[in-house]
Amino acid sequence: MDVSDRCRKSISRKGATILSISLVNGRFRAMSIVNDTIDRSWERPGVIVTFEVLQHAISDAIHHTQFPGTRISVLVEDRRCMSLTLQLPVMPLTDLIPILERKAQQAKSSEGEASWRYSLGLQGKGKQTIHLEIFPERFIDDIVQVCENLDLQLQQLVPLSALAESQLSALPIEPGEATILISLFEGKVSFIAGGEDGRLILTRQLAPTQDWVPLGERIGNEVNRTIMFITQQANVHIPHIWFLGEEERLTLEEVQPHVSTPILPCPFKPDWQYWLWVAATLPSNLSNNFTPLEVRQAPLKKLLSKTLAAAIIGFLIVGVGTTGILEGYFAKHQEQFRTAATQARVLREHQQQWTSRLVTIQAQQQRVHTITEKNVPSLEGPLLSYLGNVIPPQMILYQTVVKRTNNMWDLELAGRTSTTLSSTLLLIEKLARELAQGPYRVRVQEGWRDQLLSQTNSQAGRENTQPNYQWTLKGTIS
Amino acid sequence: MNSWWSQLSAAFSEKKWLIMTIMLVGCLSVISWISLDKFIEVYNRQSSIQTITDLKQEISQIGLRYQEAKPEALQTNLIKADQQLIQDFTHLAQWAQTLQEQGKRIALQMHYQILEPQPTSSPIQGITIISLEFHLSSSENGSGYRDFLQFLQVLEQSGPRIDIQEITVSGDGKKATHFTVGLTTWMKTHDSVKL
Repeated sequence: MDVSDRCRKSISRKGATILSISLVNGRFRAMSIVNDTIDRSWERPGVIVTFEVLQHAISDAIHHTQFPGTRISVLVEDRRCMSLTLQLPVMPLTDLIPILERKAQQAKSSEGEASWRYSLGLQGKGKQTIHLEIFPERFIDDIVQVCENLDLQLQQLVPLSALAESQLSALPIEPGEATILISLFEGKVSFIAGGEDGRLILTRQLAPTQDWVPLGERIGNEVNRTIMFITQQANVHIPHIWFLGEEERLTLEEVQPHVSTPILPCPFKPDWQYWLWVAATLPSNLSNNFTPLEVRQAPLKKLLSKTLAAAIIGFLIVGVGTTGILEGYFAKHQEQFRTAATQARVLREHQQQWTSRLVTIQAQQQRVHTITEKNVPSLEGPLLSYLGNVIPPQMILYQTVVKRTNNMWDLELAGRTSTTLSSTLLLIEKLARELAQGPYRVRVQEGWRDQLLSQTNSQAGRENTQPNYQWTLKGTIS
Repeated sequence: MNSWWSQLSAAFSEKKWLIMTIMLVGCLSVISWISLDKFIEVYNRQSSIQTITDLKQEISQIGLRYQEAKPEALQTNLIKADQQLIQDFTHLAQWAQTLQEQGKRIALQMHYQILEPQPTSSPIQGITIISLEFHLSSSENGSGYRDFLQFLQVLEQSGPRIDIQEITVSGDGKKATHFTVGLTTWMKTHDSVKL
């Protein structure tokens, strides 16, 4: 089932309303089905030979059945429509289709192009059975045109044989078995063989009546042939045969003597109204539905185009409405917006002024702060006073240098002593300790000791004179 | 006329889907564009109202910060800070002479030397850092150490901002006789004046 069929089915699921008509050898019957219920039926007297008359007939049928819907199903049996059962070697569909096309064009019984539908049947021993239905293209176009003229949506255009095929699934068939349905509608005899799941195995139609052979005998012979063929090809057992026919033409008892397999009457007794109902309920994706795909898709396309048009109109309305509302809103608040814009401009100017003032005052503050701040505390005066107190009287100070280096102070003291080396060492060590532990925490460099010791030799030769040691103490105050 | 109309109808029905799709896309595009444009306009206008609120708040905060900076006290502080700057070389010389006189009063002979200015080391614009060296010697026979300490006090309280860089005290071992003070002071920059 293709997408459009699924969509259509889901759309029309709520209850089918359809006009089912049959055109069997020119005889016209119609039945209206409203919400899946048979409503009214009507039969037109006489035979229809032209499509103008068919159009009138359908129009009359709508009138007589008071059909309220738009969908129509057409069941056709016509001398221009024919069917073929072919046996071809098994091949892919891509190869099969051109062959079927050629066969259909060869077999057509009328002028013009032929439209055809096929269904695959029994496959065995390298052969594929194919049932081919052929309608004149013109015939289909005319029916489609008639429906269009009457604003009807053509759902089904199927041959009469489709009805009997559809009944296969209703017959009781045991697993591993097959059955044959002999159908006789409107004088047309069909043999339809099906498998256990209602699957179609074979469809054959009896050639026009040969008057010199009784119909019962002829059907019997064809049934025997069919059974033999199916048994050979598919190796299935056919325990019984079903008979579905018009008793006024042929009875089951006329056929049974010529067939060894028991023939049973069908469990249902259909009349033409039943067939119209069946035709209306056939799935639209049936293999022998001759309704052109574009016609089947037309309702969906129509719905889509309506939806699309509605969407366009809707969008236009929404767009125009939105624009209108917004324009109205703007018009209503125009004065307010203008005031707001002016106010924003004035405020921006104020902001700039205030920012400028703030930047200026901050720069001035920074200037004041930088000029007035003391990044390094002054310690020169107190330090010199302190040094005056801590230097022992035995030590003679020549020079004091206090020098700033970045955020620190370098201190250098230079002098001499007249005491012995050991006393000098002790004195300077004491001074260094006091400087290190005092309030200024002077980190004294160790070089002073080496300087003193290097003077030992020069002092050794001066035995009678007083010792004289030069010392230098360097340190850092952080 | 009829033929023209029927041709047009046939062409329309042939291209119906394409035309409708183009119309739908066109409608959507036009509506989207108009709506977008309008919504942007609304957004901008709402934003301008929000901007007003934000600007008011911002101005209020700036005003607050401005008041916190005490602009009324700033002028006084600026004057005070300005007084700590050497105005020019004349002022520098006057200041040094005053110090010389004060040094004399406490028995110290002083002369000074202006070193090369250091414009690059100035932390703020418009200020030149001037390096100076004061050389002092005690004029009396005794130690000038105490006098020198007194001079340092005088120097630090003399007004202009000074940063003492180096102090050297030297003597003969019995008394301190020579003192050197290296310092920097800040002077207003005058482009036309070069030392």
